[in-house]
Amino acid sequence: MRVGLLYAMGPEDDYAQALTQVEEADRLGLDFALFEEHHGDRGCPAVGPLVTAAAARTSAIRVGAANRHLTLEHPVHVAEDFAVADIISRGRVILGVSPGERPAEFAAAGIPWNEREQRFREAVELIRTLWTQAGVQFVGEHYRFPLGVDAPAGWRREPYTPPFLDQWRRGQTRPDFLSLLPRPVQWPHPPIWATGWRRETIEWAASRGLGFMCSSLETDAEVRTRLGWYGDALAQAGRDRNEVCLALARDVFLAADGDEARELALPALRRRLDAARGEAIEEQAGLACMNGIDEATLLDQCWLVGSPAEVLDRVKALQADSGLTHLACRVWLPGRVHSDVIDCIRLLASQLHTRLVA
Amino acid sequence: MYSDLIVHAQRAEEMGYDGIALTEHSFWYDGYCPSLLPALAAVAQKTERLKLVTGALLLPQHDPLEIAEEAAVVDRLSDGRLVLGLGAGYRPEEFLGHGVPEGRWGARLFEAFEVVRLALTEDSFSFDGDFYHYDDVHVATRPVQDPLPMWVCAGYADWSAKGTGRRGWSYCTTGDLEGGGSVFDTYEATAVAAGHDPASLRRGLFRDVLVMNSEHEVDAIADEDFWPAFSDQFLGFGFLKWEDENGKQITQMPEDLKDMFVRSPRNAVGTPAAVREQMKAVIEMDVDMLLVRMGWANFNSQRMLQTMATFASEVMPMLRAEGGH
Repeated sequence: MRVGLLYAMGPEDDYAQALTQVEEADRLGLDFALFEEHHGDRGCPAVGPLVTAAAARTSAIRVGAANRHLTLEHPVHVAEDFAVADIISRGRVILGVSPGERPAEFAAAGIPWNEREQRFREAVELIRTLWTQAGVQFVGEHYRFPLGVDAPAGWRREPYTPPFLDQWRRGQTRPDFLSLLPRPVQWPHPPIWATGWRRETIEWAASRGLGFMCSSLETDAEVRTRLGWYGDALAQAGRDRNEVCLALARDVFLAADGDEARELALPALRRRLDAARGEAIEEQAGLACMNGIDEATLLDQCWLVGSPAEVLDRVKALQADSGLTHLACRVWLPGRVHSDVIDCIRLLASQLHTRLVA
Repeated sequence: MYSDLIVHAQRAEEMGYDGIALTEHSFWYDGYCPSLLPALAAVAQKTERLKLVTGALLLPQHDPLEIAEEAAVVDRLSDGRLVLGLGAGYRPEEFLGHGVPEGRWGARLFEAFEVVRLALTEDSFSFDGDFYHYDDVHVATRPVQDPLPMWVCAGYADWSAKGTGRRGWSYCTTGDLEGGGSVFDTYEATAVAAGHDPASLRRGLFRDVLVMNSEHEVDAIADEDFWPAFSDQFLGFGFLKWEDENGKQITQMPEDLKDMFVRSPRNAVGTPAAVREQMKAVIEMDVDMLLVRMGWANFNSQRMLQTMATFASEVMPMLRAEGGH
């Protein structure tokens, strides 16, 4: 199992500290660092620059977005931004994608909330097409590339008519086909991980061979249910689990002594959970976390807080029965001390990563 | 190329430049950068002092609210070094590729500019324009700089000088067709007529510079780097409907135009002494920000560094002394 870091950088939080922590994780051999998008007080509204900044400061660790909201702007920009990030990182980018979470953000962007699922699927298909094909057109219900092409739904490459003439030498054209440039370093394209709570999103992701990352707000039992849906849809699509990444996001905090870990971790975790409950996101309403389960249960079934041995048992159990391949650890939270987080990352690398990889 | 970018930025900082500017194009054959803010975020990690300039980010092809949020993040990542230059763009391919209808690019630019400005200066804002509509939107993540420097970046079109002047915004231009400062006169006259204090106006200038120690080296860079890049790019700019006598689109740059474009009055080309002479006109324009372009994507990287060093040691002292900026 691969182990990485997960960051939700709010408006007041210190980006430089987080990047120093990612550098340390890179040095220690952790596998990835992802940044969460959030257009309010609990995350960063534009993760593209955090990803390239982390890429510029590291050499081996993968970097990426946890939940890029694909439907809030034109997906061609996402394809461009993460192609550039893949080049800057020399092929280390992961793109986690989300259909979006908050109706207010859709209102601000002028996108109908009830179209989010369809737009999300189309956006993923468009990004994959642009990342892998040259001289291409794409016709969907919501997106056309280039705008104005009149053709049946789907994507197709430009037919070749000699003599060869570069697209840009054709003068003032209204092109029917274009190439996204530059394209990513990774072949066929950087990994795309879907996120989301709705069963239809999860099943669709499996049917298209996308990875999936389960949210940090779910109990171990809820994680098993979701990964079960994913696994069934995967099998139905004739695919095998060894083709895909199955990630779990978790609030994690380790210290040599379990009680010390809980003491250091809990204040920030309580604030975060209160804020999540306060947001009352429609699709999270059914989760146990949102419905007043007590702290002891959260420590037992959701948060991974304690000594490395305590946490290892929980993760090994999940790995064995649900086939998890990646653990994304949110070890930094507002209010935690930088040096405590660095200590935690070192324990994560030396005590947990070694045993989970093995 | 992106590793070159970081090396060039680091060297520029050592040589005493104030900033580095990136230009944007999409769907362009040579990997022209379509994502300026993420690229500058990477440069920010490897430099300490350099201003990070988008010159220009083609705003109407983006969502202005997303750009405001992204700019705030980059300003925080660079500890307040971002300078946001925003332009309209002109290649039809780029608008269509980003799902934006053609036409009224200038009007879109000014509206979107205002959206970004409001988003980054007001605690919450509403906006109701022809293209963009927002109702009580709040951007929680704020830039370090207050206000974040913002420029309208443009060529020499009358609408850009007047539209920018009327709003009293900072104006960065290529200069007029002859490379002169008449556009600044239009800009300032419009601004003053609209009631803006002339002292509040900021002028910026783009200039292509090819400077080498000998005429022989200048010819080499013009022939081997500038002309091949320029002739490919000029045809691809997309604003040009250029036909031969049979009514067919011209797809190769005529060789005999080389001198006209290389030695255009809008470029400064030659040995240090010659470039100093040509830059006197720039000093007279009294600009606050000068963006010199000394290389394009397919230039020889070593030669670009050499040009940067020559300009920094031979030309910059004069600009600092007499330009005062």
